[in-house]
Order: sequence, then C-alpha cells, then structure tokens
Amino acid sequence: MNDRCDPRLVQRCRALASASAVFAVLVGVLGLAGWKLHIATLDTWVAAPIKIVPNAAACLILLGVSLWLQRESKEDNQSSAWNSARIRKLAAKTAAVIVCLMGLLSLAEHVCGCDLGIDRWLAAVPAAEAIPGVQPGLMAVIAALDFLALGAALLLLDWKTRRGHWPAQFLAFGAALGAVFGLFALVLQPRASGITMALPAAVTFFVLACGLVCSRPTWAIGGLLTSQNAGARLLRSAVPAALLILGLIGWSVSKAMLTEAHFTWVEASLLAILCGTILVAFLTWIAFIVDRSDVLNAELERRVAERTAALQSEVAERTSAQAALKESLATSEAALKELADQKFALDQHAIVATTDVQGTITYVNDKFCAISQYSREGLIGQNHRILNSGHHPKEFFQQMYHTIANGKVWRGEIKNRAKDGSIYWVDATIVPFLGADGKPWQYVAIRTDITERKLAEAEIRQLNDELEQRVAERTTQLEAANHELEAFSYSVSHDLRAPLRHIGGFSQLLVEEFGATLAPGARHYLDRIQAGTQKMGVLVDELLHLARVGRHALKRQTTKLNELVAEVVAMLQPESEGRQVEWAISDLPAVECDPVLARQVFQNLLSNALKFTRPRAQAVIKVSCREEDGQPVFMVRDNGIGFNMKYVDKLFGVFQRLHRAEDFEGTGIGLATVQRIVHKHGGQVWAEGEPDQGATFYFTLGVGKQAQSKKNGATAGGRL
Amino acid sequence: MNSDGMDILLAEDSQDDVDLALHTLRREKLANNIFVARDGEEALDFIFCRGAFAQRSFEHPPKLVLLDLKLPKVNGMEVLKQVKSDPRTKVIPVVIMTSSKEERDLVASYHLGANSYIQKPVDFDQFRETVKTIGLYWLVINQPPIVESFQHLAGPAHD
Repeated sequence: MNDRCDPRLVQRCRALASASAVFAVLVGVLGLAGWKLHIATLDTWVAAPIKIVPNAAACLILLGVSLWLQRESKEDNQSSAWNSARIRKLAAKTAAVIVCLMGLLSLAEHVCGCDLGIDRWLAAVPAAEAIPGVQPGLMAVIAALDFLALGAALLLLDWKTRRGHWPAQFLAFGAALGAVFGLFALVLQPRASGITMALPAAVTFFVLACGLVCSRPTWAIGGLLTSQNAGARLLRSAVPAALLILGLIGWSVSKAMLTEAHFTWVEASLLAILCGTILVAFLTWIAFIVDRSDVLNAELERRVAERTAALQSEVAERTSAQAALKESLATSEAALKELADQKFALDQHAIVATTDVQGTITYVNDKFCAISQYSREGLIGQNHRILNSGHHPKEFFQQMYHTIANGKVWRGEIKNRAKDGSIYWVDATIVPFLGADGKPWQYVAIRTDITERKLAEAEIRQLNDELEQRVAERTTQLEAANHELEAFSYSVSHDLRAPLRHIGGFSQLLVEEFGATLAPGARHYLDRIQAGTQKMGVLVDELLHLARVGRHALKRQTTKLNELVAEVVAMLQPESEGRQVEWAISDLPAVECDPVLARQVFQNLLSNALKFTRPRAQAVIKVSCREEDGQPVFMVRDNGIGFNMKYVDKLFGVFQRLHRAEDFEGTGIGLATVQRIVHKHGGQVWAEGEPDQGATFYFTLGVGKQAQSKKNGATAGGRL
Repeated sequence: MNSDGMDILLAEDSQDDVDLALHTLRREKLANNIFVARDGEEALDFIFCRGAFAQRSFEHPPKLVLLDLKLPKVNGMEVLKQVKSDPRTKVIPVVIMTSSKEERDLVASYHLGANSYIQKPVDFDQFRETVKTIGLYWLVINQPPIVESFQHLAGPAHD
C-alpha cells in the first residue's frame, strides 16, 4: 500500500493530523479559559445556550496532546522535547486512558443520575448554567461516547488485527458520526438537553476524528486518502463536495421543516432545480474523474501491452539467444571432447611436455616421466636443462631457442640424459603457442623415442666405416696385385720372349751353318728344339692376350655383329683353304658391346669351329641368334668332332684341352679368353656337345631388350 | 775411337740379340759399319758426340738407330726423347726394335717421334726377314736427309 501513496499527500495528511491536535488543545484551553474568565463566547462560539463543560475542554486538551505525541513524522524515533520515544508513548497512552475513564464515568453519571464529583473540580459551574435535568458540569451523552471512542482510538492507534483491520479507524469513524449528530442536533434543537453538545466540542470531535485518520496516512483509510489510484482520487475529490452538498441540502430541508414556513412554488422550484443542478454537476464531475481515470487506465493498458510485447519479444530474443548459446555450448563441448581425444591419442604415441618461455617445465605426460625416469613432481617447475646430456654444442640450443622464440616450429634430434645417467635420443618437434601479441607464451614439445634407431644408425655407420676400410684395403691390395700383374705381363712379353728368340735363332744358325757336320739325330733334336720354341712363343702371346683382356676397359658402342662376323670369316679364309666349308650366318642384331672384344670372341669360336671340323668332308658352321628372357643369345654351331659333356666344366679353363695336341693344335687359352670377355660384358657362356656330333657354343653379352637395335626383329632369318 | 761414318747404331743390351742382329745384317751385307751401344748412356754419348765419343762430329750422324726400349742406365724411351728433342739429332731415323707389344710403349714411341716400331718376332726366320727389310729400307731405299742442311739449327751451346 505504501508504494502507491503520493508522498506529497502523505506529508499533507501528517501536517493535518498535527494541526488537528493543536486545534483540539487550543479549543480545550480556550474553553477552560472561558470558564475561568467568564467569557461565554469562548465556550459557545456562537449565540447558543450550550457551553462546553470544563472537563470536556480538559479532555480535548488530553486528546490533542495524545495525538500530537503519537504523530508520525520524518524524524520518527528521534528525540525532540522528550528524548525518549518510550516516555512519549507512555504519556500519550496515559492521556488516552484518562480520557476513556472520563467518558466512562460521565456515561455512568448519566445512567445512574449520581454525582461522582468529576464535573466541577476544574471550574465552578453555577446551577443556573446547568442544562435542565442534568447536574451542572456533566458533559453530554454523545460527548461522553465520543471521548470514549477517541480515547480508545488513540490507545489502540497502532494496533492492527490479524485480518488487517484497524480498530482505531472504526472508532474514529464512530466519533465523527457522533460529532455530525451533535452538529445536527445543535441546528435542529438548539435548546440544551442532556443529549446535545456544545459547538466547539462537536467541531473538535470531527476535526480530531479526521486528524486521527490522517495521522496514519499510509494505513487503511489513510492509505486510501493518499493513494494515487483512481478510486482514491475520486474519494479525495468527491467526499468533501458530497459532504458539503449533503450539508447544504440537509441544512435547507431541516431549516424549512423546522420553521414550518410555506414555500412559494418559485422557491420550491428553485430549490429543486438548484439541488438537481448541483447533483448533476457533481455527477458530471465524478464522471469526468472516472473518465479521466479510464483514459489513464487505457493509456496504462496500452503501455502495459506495449511493454508486454516488448518483454515478449525480449523473451523470444533471449530464448533464441539461449538456444544459440546452447548450440554453441554443445559445439564447444564436442570440440573440447575431440581435443581431449586428440590429446589422449598424442599421449599414447609421443613424449609430451610444455614449458614456459623460460624453459621451465609446466606439464609432462606419462611417457615423458617413463623415459626420463623422473617423477612428475621432480620435473614440473624444473628447467628443461636438467635433461641436457652435454652432447650438443651451445650453438645447437641457441639456434633452437632462437627459432621458437621467433614463433617458428623447431624440429630436430636431441640426445638427452635420464635420471640414472643413461642416454636416450628423441626426435623432437617444439611448437610455440602464440599469445594475442604474437609472442610465444609457452612451448609444447612433442618427442618420439629414437634411441634404438640411433643405436642402429651408429652400428650401421660403424659397419660402413669398417666395410669402407676393408674395401679400401682390398682395393689397395687389388691395385697392388694389378700392378704386379701388369709388371709381370710386361716382363713376360719382354723378357720371356727374348730367350725364346735366342734359342730358336741360335739353333737355326746351328742347323744352317753346321748342319752338314751334324749327325742326323742331332739335327732332329735341333728341329724339336725349334718346334718347342715356336710353340712356347704362341703360348706366351696368348697368355699376354688373356691378361690384356682382363685389363682392357670395356667400351660399349653399337656394333653391327654381322659386319664383325663377316670380317672374322674373311680373316679365317686362309685356314679354310682347300676345304669344303659352309658358313651359315643368320641375321644378327646390332648390340651395345665392346667391338674389339666381341670380335675376339667370334674369332676364337669360329677359329675353333673351323679347326674341329677339319675331319669333315663338308664342314658346316652356323652363327645365329635367338631371344631368351629378353636378351639375345648368340650361337656358334659346328658339325665337328664335338666333345663329351662330362668334360664340359673343363672347356673354359685356362690350358684345359679335350684333344691331343697331335690331333688338334692349340694352347687351351682361346675359350678361357672367350669366357673372360663374356663375363666382362656381364653375360654368360655355355656349350653343348656330343662326341662326333658337333658342338654348340652359346653366349650373351649382358644386353637387355632396350639396348638392342631395331633390327632385332630379323634374328630368325635364313642362312647365308 | 774413331766412330765417324757409322751406318748403324745398334742400342741393345742383350749380347744374344746383338749377335743375331749383327749376323743377319752382315749376311745380308746391309751395313759394314755398325756400332753397338750396350746401354742408353753409351748410345746418347755416341749420338751427342760426348764422353768417350767426344771426338765424333755431328756432321757424321749414324744413318739409322736401332733402339731397344729396355736398356740399362738410361732406358730406350729416354734416349728417343733426347734424340728427337734436339734439333741436331732429330733428323736421325730411329727404329724401335723391342720384344714389347704394349700399346702404351707403341703410342709413347710414336709420340716422341720414332720413325718406326717393330716387335722382334720370336721365330728366327721372321726375325731375320724383319731385320733385313728394315736395313734395306732405311739404308738403301729411303733417301736420308742432308745432314748439313740441319746443322745451322744446332745451338752454339752444344759445342
């Protein structure tokens, strides 16, 4: 209720209450003074026979004082004249109780007609001034009732029932009705009686009743008086007017009735019109007030609707914002979960640590603890340097810090020392986390244990070093051996041939110059000496040749083998003089090989073929080529005496011969040379044969398909 | 020792080879005056008219030098190099006669200015034929240079 009160009205009410209290005291004091100084006007105010009695005047003073003491003010609970609120309250209540007692005693005197002596102890009341039928100084019945009501009201001023009623207001209302009755009585029956009271008393009762209600301007009726509601406003506006109108009408009617005067019709009509007009105007005014109130209500409702709509849209907005917030929260939660999952995954694989910019460890995962052998507590707060193995130079770490301090990712392999002094290697990636200012605020290091790999690498390196050393040693040895071989072959070619020449030369001179004197046997021996010398000469030459093939650097170039074979055949022509030899030479491809060495191969093979077909009346020597496993295989086949396959292993050995020298001359070096040349080309050589059925030699030159000439397609060509 | 007017200088350390070569040359009557140097130093002294041959004159150079490569003291290749790099002697025909058929020897010899390179055959008949052919060619068929026309090239420092 309080918040609806108009504070200005509240203030006015309080002022009114105080004024009514002062008014009552003033009326009381003047009343008493009238009695003491015999000034009747002070007790009657108008020319009326009824005076206010002394004890009534005293009671008015007490009531005024009581109301004054119980008034509300801004300075409530603050000391004023009496500095204690309790004393003030006690005095007020005492005054109220005295007034009640006075009322009760006066009523008792009226009822039983006795004199209790309370009516004249303040001032003497002559019997002449007494109201007929009533002992002098006794207050009227209505006045006694009013005193009782107002005294009780002031006694119970601040008491509220449990249902919210305020008894003091009801009592004040009753007192006001009594006062009005008193006033009417004064007007209608001005002659004194035991019922009617004096004018000052009636007016003061009314004023006090009003003042009492106004003294609590925020309660019940008081609250209604000061409220800003339409009803309260109507009450405030209408009630005084209504009272005035009713008073006027009542006054006029009563006066007319009492004087028993006859109205003219004009007077009656005027009165009726006046009454009607006043009533209509009053109703119009009320209507105007209520209408204004409705307008205000409508305005208020519109505002409420607007505000409601605004609130609703605000609520809707908040709801959608909340939904968005919820969604974003869900997204954030999902992202957080994913982050946590990724961190878990990372922890499963890697050694993870974070440090601040000074290198102080702020976080390590389990793997970090496991590999470094420190506890988590032993690591956090420590500088990362405690793991330094001393293996890396200062510049290594300087470069690392330089990189990450500039916000770049550093990657490298670091050798660390665990708590027990053992060494471990990690492959580390250090990522700086950058703050809003673009500078790193922490570093996250993700590492992988590569100790085993490092050990394996070291082992491999050591093995490599050993191997390289061995290769170097072997190379030196081989170079020395090669050098020795060169020196040997040079020596053979130069020094071995010379004595042979001398033996041959001198034995021939012996035959030539002293042949005639020699015995036939001696001559035969000399011939044998010369034959041996020649044979040895050939052997030495072929051996040198074989050695030279070994040292010859392979120079591959595209070689047309048909041309090469034709040259060899032409060269061998003298050996086939007088024999029937059929050369069947297929189309051969052009291949990448060393032409000098390839020529030697064909020369040796064809020469052999020619030699071992000597017993045949018709020698047939075929040269052809076929493709096997993507590379050309060359064949030289003859229809000669062949060989037993059980000696095939000896075929390509140096000095190995399958035939007697008497039957077929030779050194046993030719096929060894062929094999050496073929091997030098990365190829293979093999032979097939059968005694008396001829022999076939196969060889490849280590050339794949891609190295073959386009002419390869004609390999299966016919015989020449 | 007056060794002017020599037809052939045979530089050969092996007495056997010397005997066989001389036998052949004499039998074929290809040269009467043959000087045999048994090592590289002697050959150079002879050609450059110094030491034991100081009384010799550049005006009578040998008509042919038969040079073995494998010689004591100074080897045949060095002898060839010195002869062919001196203007006074570079016109003297030098034929390398050796047992070696090494390619590097062959190439080096021609590079240094050898006039011919012969491998001594092991077979005596072939040997004899070879020596005969060489002698015939260089001493009879071939027109030797006019020595005097080259003498002005000789620097005074060499005398």
